[in-house]
Amino acid sequence: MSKKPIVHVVDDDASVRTALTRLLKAAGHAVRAWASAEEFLHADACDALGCILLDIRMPGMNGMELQQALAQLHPGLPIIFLTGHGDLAIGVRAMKAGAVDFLTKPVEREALLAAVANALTRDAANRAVHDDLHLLQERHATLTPREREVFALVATGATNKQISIEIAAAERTVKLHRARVMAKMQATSLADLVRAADRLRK
Amino acid sequence: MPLLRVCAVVIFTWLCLPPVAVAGEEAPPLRVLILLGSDYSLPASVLETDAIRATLAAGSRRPLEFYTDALDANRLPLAQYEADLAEFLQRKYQGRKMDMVIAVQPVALGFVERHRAVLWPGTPVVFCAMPADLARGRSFGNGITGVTATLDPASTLELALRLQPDARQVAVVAGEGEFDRAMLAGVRQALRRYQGRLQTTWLDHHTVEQMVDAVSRLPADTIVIYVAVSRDAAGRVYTSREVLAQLARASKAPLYGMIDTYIGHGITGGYIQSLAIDGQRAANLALRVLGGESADAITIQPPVVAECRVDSRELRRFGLREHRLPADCLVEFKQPGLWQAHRLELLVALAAIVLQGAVITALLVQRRRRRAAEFTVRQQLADLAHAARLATAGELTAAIAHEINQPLSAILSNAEAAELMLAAEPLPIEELRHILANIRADDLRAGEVIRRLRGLLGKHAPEMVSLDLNALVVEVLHLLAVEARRRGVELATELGEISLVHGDRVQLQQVLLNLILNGMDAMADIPPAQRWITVRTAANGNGGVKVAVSDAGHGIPADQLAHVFDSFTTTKSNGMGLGLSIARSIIEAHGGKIRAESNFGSGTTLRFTLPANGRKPHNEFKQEQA
Repeated sequence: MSKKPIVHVVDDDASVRTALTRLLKAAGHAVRAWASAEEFLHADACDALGCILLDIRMPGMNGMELQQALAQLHPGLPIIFLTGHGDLAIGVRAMKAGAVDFLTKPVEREALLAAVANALTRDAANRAVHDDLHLLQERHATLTPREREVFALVATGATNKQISIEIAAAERTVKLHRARVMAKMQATSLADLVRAADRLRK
Repeated sequence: MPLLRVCAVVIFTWLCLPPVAVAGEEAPPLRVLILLGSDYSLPASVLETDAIRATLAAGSRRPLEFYTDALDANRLPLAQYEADLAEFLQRKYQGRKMDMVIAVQPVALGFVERHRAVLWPGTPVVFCAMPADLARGRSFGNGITGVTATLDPASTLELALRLQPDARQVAVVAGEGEFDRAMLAGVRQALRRYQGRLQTTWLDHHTVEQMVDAVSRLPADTIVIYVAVSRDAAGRVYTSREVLAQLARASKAPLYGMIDTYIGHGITGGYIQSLAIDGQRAANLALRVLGGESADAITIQPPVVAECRVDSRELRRFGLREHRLPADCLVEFKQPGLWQAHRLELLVALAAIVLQGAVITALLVQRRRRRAAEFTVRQQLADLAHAARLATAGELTAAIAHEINQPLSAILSNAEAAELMLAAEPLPIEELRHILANIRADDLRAGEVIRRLRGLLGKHAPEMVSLDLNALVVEVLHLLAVEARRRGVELATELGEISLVHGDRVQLQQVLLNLILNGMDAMADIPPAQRWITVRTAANGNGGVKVAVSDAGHGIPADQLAHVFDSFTTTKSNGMGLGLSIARSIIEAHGGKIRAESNFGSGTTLRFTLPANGRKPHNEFKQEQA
């Protein structure tokens, strides 16, 4: 959570790669440079993700192919494509495949930094959403089977009476389970609990 | 066939006809005896005899028989043999009656008169070569008539003085013969008029050697009158003409004479009494007599006026002016101008020269046209090649744009990074230094791409230089590297040790470019892993270079291999079919050859050769451009 997101620059052209790296670093980003798509994949830098600045045209695996590969491994990882002139058709395809941005070389600093900031924001958001759910799931895991049953039924809006009939238990027992679920899921209200159930269901 | 038969019949008929027409009217020939006072062979005798015979033969209706006898009395003492000669002649012409006797010179007439009664009784006589003054003083017998002649020394002297107005001396050359002395008398008389004005040297009573010697000593402005020499002081006999020839050779002064046998044989000129005319006049009288006229009825003919005649060669030899001559003077032996003398040859030569000139002109014009045409063709090749290069560049646009874009992109990013760094504390000097170095390198890189591109695209005058083909191959592969990467084609080289070649850099670059791009196109539909192109260079054995560009494409069908270099032949859907055609034109203009062959495995190899550097290809771009 506290890890700084890393901007990965993937470009086969050494001078371009170096220059971009420099610029991003000067702008305060953590940057890692890769000379090819394969190199990036093999390094498995997944735990230190932020966004990828990817040159479309490269020998070997090109930018598009890397995008496809990452879609499996790290869905939601923001990709900014860099391209030369005249590759507009490719750019459109890349955008449809989920790229967050598409920049034409030579790219100006404002545009580049804005795109990178945008990508990182999206990554952070992704990551926040991802962390929230993770917490709920952890809390959900602490529930006993009986509590999970109650939790599921509460989430559908059933009353204590209805639940007691459903699970063939005394209404008092239902109340007890319900209080325990509320506590374990750290829900402050019924609405809170329903929302948590909703997210877990997705 | 029918024509031949008709001819045969006509000829046969003609042969069978009796020759009636001519035979019956044939009259008996008339006999004419020419009796010469001198020797037969004397030029004067020959001249006179020929004139007589020719005139008689031309004028007579009846056939003539000519007999000639010569007394030779000018050299020999006639008295000693006259009786024997008369007897001889009587025997000689026994039974042949003469119809006419022509006596040439007074001595002959005398002989005729003395022996006529015996030898030629009743035969009419015509005389000629008779000095007028001799004829005047005597009478002639029955049946005798004739023509007289006179020499004109006075006019001859006058002529000499006209031509040599400054002359102070006259030399007169004469021999000891009867005729010589008779003529000399006339000259003496004529010279009397010039006494006091002209000093006279008499060269008579001399031997021929003395005459020649004396004449050779005469100053050039002397007037030399040549009278006649038939016998000299030593008693040796000559013909006048041969003595004249000797004198003329020796003399520094011009000679003048009065008889037409001299003209053309050494005299400059004179008032000439013509023996030929004398003979003609006598023959005309004879014709009248033979025609029936009585000789007695015909009076003795007075002499004709002597004519002024000069030898133009002698005039020139002594530097005498033709314009000083009297208007009626006849200039003979005029050296015909080159034009008159060789008119035909000149015309032929002129025609030849004109023809030759015309041919040369035609050839020059043709050559000029051909060169112009060749120049146009080369110009067109250059234009076409340029157009093709532009097309090639079009194909490569994406690759080229990428190549330029990369360094530009790096430069921008570096510059912007530097801007950000300038705000940092402390200033990262070392990093900024790196950035500047990188910017510089990228700028040069972009410049290099543009330079290469300009070389390829520029419309430049072809320039033949010595160049290293291996370096050229490397450069072209560099230009194509991005495009090859884009198309997934692996480019390889096997460069051998080769000598320099003579050629135009851009055009040869274009050939390589065309061949390699062609190879790339040919591999569009095979899997990327199998796409490769190899360029090989090697020495070709006789100093030249051979180059092979091989691809792994689908190859060219065997029946099309020979046609791949034709224009507008293409296996590509989007090609114009000019690439290989232009490549061939360029290679051939460089004196090389190009061909295509199928690889053993698959694909195609295009091979071309270029001659050694030293050998100048027939293509002369440079000169043409100049």
